[in-house]
Amino acid sequence: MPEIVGQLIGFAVIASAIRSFVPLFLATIGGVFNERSGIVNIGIDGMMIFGTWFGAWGALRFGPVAGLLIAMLAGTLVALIHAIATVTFRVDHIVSGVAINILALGVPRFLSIVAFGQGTQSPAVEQLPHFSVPKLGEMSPVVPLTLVLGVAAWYVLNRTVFGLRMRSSGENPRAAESLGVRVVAMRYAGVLISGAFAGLAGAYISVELVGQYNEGMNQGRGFIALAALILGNWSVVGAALASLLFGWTEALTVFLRVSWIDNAFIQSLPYIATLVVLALFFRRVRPPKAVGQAYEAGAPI
Amino acid sequence: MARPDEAHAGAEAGPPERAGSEPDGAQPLAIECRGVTRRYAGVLANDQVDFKVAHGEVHALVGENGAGKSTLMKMVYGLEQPDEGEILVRGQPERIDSPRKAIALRIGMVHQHFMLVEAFTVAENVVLGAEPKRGGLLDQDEANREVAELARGFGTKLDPEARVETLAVGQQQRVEILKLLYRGADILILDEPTAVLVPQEVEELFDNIRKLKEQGKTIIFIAHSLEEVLAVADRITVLRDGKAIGTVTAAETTEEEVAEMMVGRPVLLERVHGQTPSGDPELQVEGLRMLDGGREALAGVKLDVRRSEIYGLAGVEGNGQAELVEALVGLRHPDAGSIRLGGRDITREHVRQRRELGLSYIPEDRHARAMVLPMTLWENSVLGQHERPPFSWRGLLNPKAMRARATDLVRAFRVKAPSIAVPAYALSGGNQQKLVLAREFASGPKLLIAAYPTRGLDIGATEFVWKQLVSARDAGLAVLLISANLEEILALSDRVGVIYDGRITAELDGSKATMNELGLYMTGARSDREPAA
Amino acid sequence: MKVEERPPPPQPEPAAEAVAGRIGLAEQARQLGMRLLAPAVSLVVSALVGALVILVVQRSFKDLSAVASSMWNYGLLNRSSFAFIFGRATPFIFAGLAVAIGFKAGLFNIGVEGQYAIGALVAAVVGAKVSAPTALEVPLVILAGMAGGLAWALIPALLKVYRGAHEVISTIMMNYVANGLLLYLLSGPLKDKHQVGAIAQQRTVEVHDTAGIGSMVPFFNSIGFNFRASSPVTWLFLLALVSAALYAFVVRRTRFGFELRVLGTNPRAAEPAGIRTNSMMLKAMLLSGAVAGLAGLQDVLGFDGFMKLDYVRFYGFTAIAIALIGRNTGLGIVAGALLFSYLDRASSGIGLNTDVPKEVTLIMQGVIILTIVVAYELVRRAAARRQLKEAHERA
Repeated sequence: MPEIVGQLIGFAVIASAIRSFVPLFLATIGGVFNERSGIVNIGIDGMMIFGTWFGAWGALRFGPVAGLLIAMLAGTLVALIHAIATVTFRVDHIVSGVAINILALGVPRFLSIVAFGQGTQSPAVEQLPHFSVPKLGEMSPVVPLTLVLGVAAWYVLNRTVFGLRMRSSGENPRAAESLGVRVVAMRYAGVLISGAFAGLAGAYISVELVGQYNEGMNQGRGFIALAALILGNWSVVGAALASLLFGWTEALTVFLRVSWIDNAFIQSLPYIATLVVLALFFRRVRPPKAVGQAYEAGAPI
Repeated sequence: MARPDEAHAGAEAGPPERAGSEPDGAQPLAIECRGVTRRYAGVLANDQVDFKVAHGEVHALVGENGAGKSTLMKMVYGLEQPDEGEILVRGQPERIDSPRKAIALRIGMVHQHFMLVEAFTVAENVVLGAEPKRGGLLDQDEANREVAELARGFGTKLDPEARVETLAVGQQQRVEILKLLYRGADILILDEPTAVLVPQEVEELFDNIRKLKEQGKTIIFIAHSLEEVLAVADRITVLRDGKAIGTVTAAETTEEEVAEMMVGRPVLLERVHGQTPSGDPELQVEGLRMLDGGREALAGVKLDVRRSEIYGLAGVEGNGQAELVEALVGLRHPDAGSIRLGGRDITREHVRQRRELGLSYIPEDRHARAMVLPMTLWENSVLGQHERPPFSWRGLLNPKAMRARATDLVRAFRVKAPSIAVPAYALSGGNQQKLVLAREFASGPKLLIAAYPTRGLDIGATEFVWKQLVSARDAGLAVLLISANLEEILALSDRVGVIYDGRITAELDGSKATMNELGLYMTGARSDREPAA
Repeated sequence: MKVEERPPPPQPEPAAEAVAGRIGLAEQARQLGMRLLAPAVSLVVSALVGALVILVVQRSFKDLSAVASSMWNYGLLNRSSFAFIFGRATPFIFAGLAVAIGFKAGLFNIGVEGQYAIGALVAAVVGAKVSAPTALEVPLVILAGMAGGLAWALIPALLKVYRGAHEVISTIMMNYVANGLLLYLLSGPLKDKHQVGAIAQQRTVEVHDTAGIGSMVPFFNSIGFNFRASSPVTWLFLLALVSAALYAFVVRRTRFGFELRVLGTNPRAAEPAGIRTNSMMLKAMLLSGAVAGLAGLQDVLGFDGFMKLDYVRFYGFTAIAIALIGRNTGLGIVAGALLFSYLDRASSGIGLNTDVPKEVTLIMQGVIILTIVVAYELVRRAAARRQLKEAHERA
């Protein structure tokens, strides 16, 4: 059946998979940083949504590069809210993340009405100049940027002093604090980095992938990124592989056409894949030991 | 002529007057506390404490639970600040407001509960916070090298690239000490270092301490086991109820004298013998096996506990006690073997069934596993029995009955609580434990599994619990007592079993066993039983 | 350690302490005050933020006062406002209860969206296929709705209990899968092929008349209100209130509720206490799904008579907000639901009567949620500190 092989691993599919891989990988890297520092961030989806909006708005006003940067800033600011709530006020991490997601449902619509005159989409935006890859078609410069960022992230996390201290904050914050590591600062850093990456991921979707902002365009990718985080065992390399897998399932939603499966189910492929991953992999993996636990600097031991 | 270093305590009969011990005046004192006082919400944890540690000596700080030893040392290490008084380091008054400051003053502390990142290597743990760098990058090779050298220097072999989670407890303790040495500490504070070690490992630790002393380090260690303290310390300071009672030279004193200073009244730890002879077995365990992540945690455990018997289980933590308890209570199912309670096979039964058949359980970690801290006292008083009448009837709760039970428990065990309607976290730790004990006793059990039941209780409460255990035993209760306190085990047990490497390797008569014997079995140096096939 | 014995000095027996059985009235009043403080502060802060946003965006005080007056007049004083608020609150109450049941057990059921959609679908299908007298038909479709919601919570429940998979991710995935499933079913096999009119909607066959849930307007008008006949409030509102009361009873007074609370507050203490944790988690998730299934019934049985594709979004996340604000209590959830319904009503008014975009209330909702969780945490900590201090002073 040559046709279905083409639909599964043809060049067009691979190209599409790479394009889908980018936002997932970026968001998951962010997730690795905040979880390794000890904070759970299920608001990544919400931060990506803010990224999609601010990316488009910024691109409209100041051009695509500015759009990406403004989106990263926006993601970081939203992450700051989450950080203050979880690190300083020690609110339950999941609850705060849910609050961020709720904000992300309402605020962009309001902003759209103010900025675009209507609630659900923006005008088309200018994109970065794309370059051509043989056999794979047009690629955004954000793609190689993502790979660079991935390598940099791995390096920072595993080879720098900053990375060591951040990881210690997620494994045993008491031990780290007793040795002079400022756990609170590390955790703030982890969450803010995650916001920046999520913002960039969202901006890529609206500016580079689609070319405009549409309400709901993120389609739950932030949650798929969480699953990729788990599947990748909380490491950057694992995140890359997992994001490739999920990116591929996204590509399939576009290209896979099987006569006896209704298209609606194929559209659900990434979500079903996530469920399958959860079913198979959850117990065998090893999260950072102190992730999700509230930490009070200076509390009596 | 030296005058006794004695803060005059209350009206009770104090220890006999004798000359206290003073350091010679040649060098400034390594550490001196003058009139140090610390208050916690009305409780005086330290009361005008004067404390002198000479340079280059090994100084032991002893006292009962709650005497204030940890608090005092936490202030020297910067984890807490004194409300009154001052602390001098090498003759200079210092305000030690954080561990960072203490480290800068070359003071280091090894806590009772290790502060290690288990996923990291030895080297990573040692250098964290003071990492050797190349650019912004961690210089892993340099770290490994320095750590290996330090370890050699004080006489241990440790692989700097080994992950800490793979190390034995004694080795992990050495990593903690390496952390201090790496930062140039020359005043080392060890908080209850022997609590997690077996007698033979304790000897190794003392060798390390002696070696460190040779290198000119000053060592303060907190302990409450006097035999050990006298073996290695130069001088001993005794705290009681937050006050410094006195300082003596180890070579010039005896255990009895120090014990008397600790408790304020002479104490007898006499073996308490049961009045009723042991009866039929209530609990029978055969061939119990359990795998824990590839490792055989239980390798064929065989034991039985009889009615009117206290069976003490001794062993170093990590030899299978935790898994055994989980299998007995029903929290985990063994891979092979059988457990019988009152003749009935309960190997695969749920916890609820076992409780209904007369099993009671006092968990080691009472906060986490025996109480729900945000719930009220009266709700916590029936946890584990809540589905039985009179507390529940046809699915409906009966709060009135639950409250009545709570009131009874509070009265019977003298739990200090403002009301039974407060959340459990409003009680002090000791009182919470008392409530748990009271609750489990009150359920009318046939078998009681008590894991470290007196941990964290003061001496009055401990004696009360022992009395309760003994009288319940006389009334027919079968008790499986797991404790790290060998004195407690020897005092209460009719029979003592030793668990090593997942098996019971010895069963001794409680009235005849000695600590040394137990130590040999606990480390596997001796074994009465062949490993099962 | 062996020392000579001298009999210990007799310890003074503590006086038989009168240990209080209940907390005094003054203390109870103070605790109540503390509990209401957080939501009150949160509302004030969110109103301020909303006002600030309007000022910044519209740059006019006139608009701000227009919004305020519309929120008062259209939001509350309009003759049918309360009918709208009660009607809108109905699905919120069910959804909020569903989330709260999960929270009590320590579970985060974010899948209410999908669960009520499937529940509504099943109810619509059963209502159309089965014909029976009202007394049988209505309970039947209600049960069908619950069954649909329960079924949709089954996979996340099993994944959680047997695989330890975090239910946040799995329930959200189920929401997206539900979208796809509904699209497929409503434009294909379940589509009503006998529709009259130029454009066929993607919806199911109409349910039988006996499955309809009547409007509650006549009842309200008979007790003094003056609602317009078409006001959207049905008898399901009463069912919602009853459900909230039932929920409160079960949580506080039954063994099931007790075990649920233990599981949710300290799961590690549950198993040693004899609670079957796996079974409880399953039951909690499934019950949560079943109650969520009720949320969509009002649209299907009360207004439309069928299930269509563009059902209202955001019930699920709003439900979480309502459960949080209501602190997972029956009364609190009803209050929270009424609050959010009021905000919805007010937002229509803002859209109709002012130049300000009506979505400003969405911002207020978001701010309410954030500020309230922080406020609750601060209040809880202050209370705990006070308790500890008093305990130490007494000890």
